[in-house]
Amino acid sequence: MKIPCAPADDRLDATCKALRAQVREFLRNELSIGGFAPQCDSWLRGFDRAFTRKLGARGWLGMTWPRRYGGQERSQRERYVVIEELLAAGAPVAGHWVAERQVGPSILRHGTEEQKQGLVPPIARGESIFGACYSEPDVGSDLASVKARAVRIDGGWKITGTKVWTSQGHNADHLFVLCRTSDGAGVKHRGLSMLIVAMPAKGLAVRPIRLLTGEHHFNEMVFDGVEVPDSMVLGGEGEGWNIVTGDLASERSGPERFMSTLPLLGEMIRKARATPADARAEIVIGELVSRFWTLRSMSIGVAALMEQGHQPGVEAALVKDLGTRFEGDVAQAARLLYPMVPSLDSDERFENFAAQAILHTPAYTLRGGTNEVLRGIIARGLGLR
Amino acid sequence: MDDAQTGMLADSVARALGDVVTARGTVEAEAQGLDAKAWKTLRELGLAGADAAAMSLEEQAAVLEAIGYAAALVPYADSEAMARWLAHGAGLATDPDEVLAIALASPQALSGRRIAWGRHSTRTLFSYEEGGRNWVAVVPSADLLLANGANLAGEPLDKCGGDRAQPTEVREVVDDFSPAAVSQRGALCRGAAMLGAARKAQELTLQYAAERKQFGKPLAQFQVIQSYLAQMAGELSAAAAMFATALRAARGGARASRAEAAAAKVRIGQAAHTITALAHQVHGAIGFTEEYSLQLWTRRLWAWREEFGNETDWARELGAAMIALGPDAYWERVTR
Repeated sequence: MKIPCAPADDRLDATCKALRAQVREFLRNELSIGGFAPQCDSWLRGFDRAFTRKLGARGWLGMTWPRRYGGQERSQRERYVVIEELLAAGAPVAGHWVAERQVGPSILRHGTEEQKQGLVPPIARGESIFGACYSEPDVGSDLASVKARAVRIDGGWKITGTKVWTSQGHNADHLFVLCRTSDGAGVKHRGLSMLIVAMPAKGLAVRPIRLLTGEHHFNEMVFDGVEVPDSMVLGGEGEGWNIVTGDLASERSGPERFMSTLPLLGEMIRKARATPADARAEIVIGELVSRFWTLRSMSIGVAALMEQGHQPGVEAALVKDLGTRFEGDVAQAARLLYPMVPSLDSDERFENFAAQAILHTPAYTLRGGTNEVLRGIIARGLGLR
Repeated sequence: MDDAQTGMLADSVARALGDVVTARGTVEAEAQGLDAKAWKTLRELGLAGADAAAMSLEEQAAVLEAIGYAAALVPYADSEAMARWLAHGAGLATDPDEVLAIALASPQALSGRRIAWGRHSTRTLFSYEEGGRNWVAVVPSADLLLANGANLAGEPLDKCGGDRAQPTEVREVVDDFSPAAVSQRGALCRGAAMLGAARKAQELTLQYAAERKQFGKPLAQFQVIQSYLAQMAGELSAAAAMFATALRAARGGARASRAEAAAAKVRIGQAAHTITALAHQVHGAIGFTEEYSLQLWTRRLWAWREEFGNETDWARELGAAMIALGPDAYWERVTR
């Protein structure tokens, strides 16, 4: 297990600084024209096709990808700068989040030339929204047990089964579907394949799974004989598990794993600044900033390890376990620091953000691998399993 | 010196201390408040005296991490990484063989003061501000009429007998050697030693969990124990990451890197709380005995987290600075 820590790179620092200034300028401008309303957890709840296209037009999606597939061939650090600025501003990035973070890299790593050329550039342009169909009603943390089945038909596969928790499934242009294509000779990790379904798809029913607030981000996806041509199998039959686990480090160590409630921290600081000096506020805010700063160092460190060719799955699990607890703690600290009535219809941004942060709290430590699963991964990294 | 060379220095110090420091030896040395053998070893490595003042903070931090890991009862941090450095900055001559103590106070306000490592020092350097200027005053430690005392780790924390003492020398110093800069350096020095101690506490706990059997299987096979051990690894990793960030920021000068140093001492202090609690929980009752060695490292973590500012002190300062910056500028500062 390595200590993930942001490495020094003066040359990159200068490039990042200029890029950061551009992103901030863009965001300031968008805010001034009412281009978006800042919110907590904007990478889940902030769906805005137009905003996603604007980012694509600026070259801020798929920044690290090869130019011939629509990317910019920039470093992980530069991509990090862009996504952390977007998250800090509470910008609506949910439309492209899954596609940009994991689908694009997966296709680039495992796809055929035809798949890469056909599917990746539209993601980089912000024109292709992907829904990930992994979990099932009876399959949560134990993902290798998926039951959705794809059976051979002439020239392709036919999918039958039910998937749940597909964010933006109702808006998606494509789906990434993890299916069982064989029994894997008794080993459940084998026999899984990743099929790409183009939307709209015949035989697919999309039903909302509403959050406790009534918000609609997640969906149940019922596949009843949905047909997929062979050309849309990613990485070949039986590669599903490798694909799903291959990008876990980037999925778990990114800044969205500790910045979902950061806009609320900004509002706490705004509030503290507008009130007379108060030791308690100073201490509470100082503690939160210290924890955030630490997580940021670790997260950049994991990105650097990945860029150096390591597979920091354990380190990523550390970041996510600490980061997602931090997200909930920001909401808790905010409500205890100043008297308030958290409400989604409050005219006060502090109360509004607090309401968003509190109501989304249960998800932070569950989505993308529960903290219990993560600790298991860390324990394995320590040689205990 | 680059990272690889600093790593080699840390390894050589760790090896040298590993040869002379034992858990039993450290416990026995507490009566004197000094492990003379370990101190001699460090001096022979050229880590004390003028050479010490010439070392970078990164190198000193590497030495301190090794000292924390070994639980060596030596005044390296206070005498060499701090007092020697301050003397150098103030243009004061020192004897390579003398131990120096350091105090963040005026020699005119000694009532109730304690001086770390005072009894072993020939002279104490007082760092204070007066009339809007920064001063260093030198006082022969014998004039402080010290009575023995100790911190939680059994390191000397001696009590001043009088109210004031007459300095033999007083120097004005620049901002880089102000009391604020001294306490910041102290926080980083304690932080470095704490990382070493925390790493050792974690290693002992992993080892114990693997060996100790209950209900027919090793503790390490119980899921709840695995979760504790994973949590300890997370805390250690977090503390180390923030410390490395602070250490690198320190290259840009004390004032420019104060926020990073503050964040580091807060985060390491938080980690120390969790790591000591879980290390003892996993160890069961044997862990809180004198006989078993874990206590050497947990007592160090409990002592050092208080010194040169604890979590509250530094969080308050960091929070006040961020509030003063406001919601946009704080973000620019953190992502600088």
